[in-house]
Amino acid sequence: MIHISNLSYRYSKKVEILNDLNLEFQPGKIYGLLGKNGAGKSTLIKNITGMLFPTSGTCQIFEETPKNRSVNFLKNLFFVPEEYYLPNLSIVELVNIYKDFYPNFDTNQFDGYIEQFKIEKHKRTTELSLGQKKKILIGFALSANTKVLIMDEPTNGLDIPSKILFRNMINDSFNKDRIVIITSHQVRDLDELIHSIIIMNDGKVLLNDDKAHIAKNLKFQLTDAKQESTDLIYQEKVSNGFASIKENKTDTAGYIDIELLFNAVLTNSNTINNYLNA
Amino acid sequence: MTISTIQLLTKRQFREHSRIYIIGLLVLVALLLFMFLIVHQWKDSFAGAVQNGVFVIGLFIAGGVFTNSMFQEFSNPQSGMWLLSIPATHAEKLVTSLLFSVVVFLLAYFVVFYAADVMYLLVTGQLSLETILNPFKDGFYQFLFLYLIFNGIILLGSVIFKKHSFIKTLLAGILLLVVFNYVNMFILQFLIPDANIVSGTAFDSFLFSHEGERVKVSLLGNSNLISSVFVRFILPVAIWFTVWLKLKEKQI
Repeated sequence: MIHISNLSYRYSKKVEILNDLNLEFQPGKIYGLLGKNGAGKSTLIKNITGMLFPTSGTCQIFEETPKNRSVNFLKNLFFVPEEYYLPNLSIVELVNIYKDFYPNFDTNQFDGYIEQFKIEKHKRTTELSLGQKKKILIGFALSANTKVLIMDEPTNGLDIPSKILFRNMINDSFNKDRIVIITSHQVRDLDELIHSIIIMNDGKVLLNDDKAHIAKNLKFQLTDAKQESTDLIYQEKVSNGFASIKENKTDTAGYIDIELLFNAVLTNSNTINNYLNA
Repeated sequence: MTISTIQLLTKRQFREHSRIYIIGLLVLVALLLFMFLIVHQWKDSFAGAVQNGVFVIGLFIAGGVFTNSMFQEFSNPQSGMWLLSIPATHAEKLVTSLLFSVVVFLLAYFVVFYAADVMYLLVTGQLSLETILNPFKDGFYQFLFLYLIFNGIILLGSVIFKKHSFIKTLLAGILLLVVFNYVNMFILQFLIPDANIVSGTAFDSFLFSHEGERVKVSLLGNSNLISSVFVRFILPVAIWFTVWLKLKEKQI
């Protein structure tokens, strides 16, 4: 489990990026960490991965403190940053050198991904396109089978077929002991993938809830005409009509329009949270 | 700290940089031969132990550049994060860098230097057992202890500075040496206000002028031993320890 308590992070006395965050991430879930550019997602991720140290508050990952960067912590966490690095090696060499650092690394699993990506294993990383490099890194990250997998904007730079492949890979490699956190500002990319949604803005968490719970409590609609109903929580014009959110008064859970929810939360998070916590 | 992790890190360091290391060795041979060529061409201007001079210059230039490359990943955030994320302790990462920049480098440097030295002596018709550089003659090997301090300082700079760490470390080092020298002279003047001090070397000796004569004052035998142990062993270890602390505190 990842437990974050009263975590704040400042770059300087004047610039506060994260403000008193409290979060918990449970194994067996894929979390979508959403937010606009500059919302603090990457800084939060860097605090979780031990690349930055909290100014105040604590972060614990399976009883380990990230800032210590202990071997046990690093063996159980793989981080795919938005802007990534791969050493200048052939793919075969990369796996041969780095697989031994990760006790649960599955070479067959990695070979399977390489086959799906249609990338030749003898190629050096310097001969690959940016998208191919990202695929190799994601393939390696999944094959490492760490308890925690964190990916910052993983779909950036991937073409549409690769995005579909990426979603399938995440689903196939997912198990009940694993925590997966994926950040994105392209919310539709994560739509079918995630179990839980965390929306951040200005260094604060505005919403943190399971998709199942959201779908049970909120009803997402698309209508041709603008609605004037009093039970409207949020409404906005979209290309093919008007998208709205209302309270779900039925027992059945409908679909979630994550993009609409995201906009609604940024507009008025208190109202949305009131309906979810009612 | 485990031997198996250090072996993995060593394998990683070597395999990722093997090409550049081979090129580096060739450049080093060329640099040493070039220096030998210069001292031979202008042999009248370079009287004395030219091989010793070439050895020291080559050692510090090549050693500095090579040591600085140990943590070159920190020169950009992406590769820096990659290095910090490798499942090994900070101590294991530091020990691996020391294995390469001290043990492997010095072994390779000696082999390359003697190859160049023999080649130079052969070409100039001076080759004999007596003319080959003897590092144990007149305590010349002392430079190796200085290299350990230099190695620690360069490693420290490569962890602290993000960009152009080698140049910045050299500049900071020179600045510190100048300040240190002034502080040393200031302390000497303060302790012996009547003496006309000409020069001084911290932890070793100072020279003062008395009735037209220059008198050298060295540390007492026991103090000299302590000072010698401090400079040769404690100081490099203390700097390496500081590198380890900075590595632990590194944020990207």
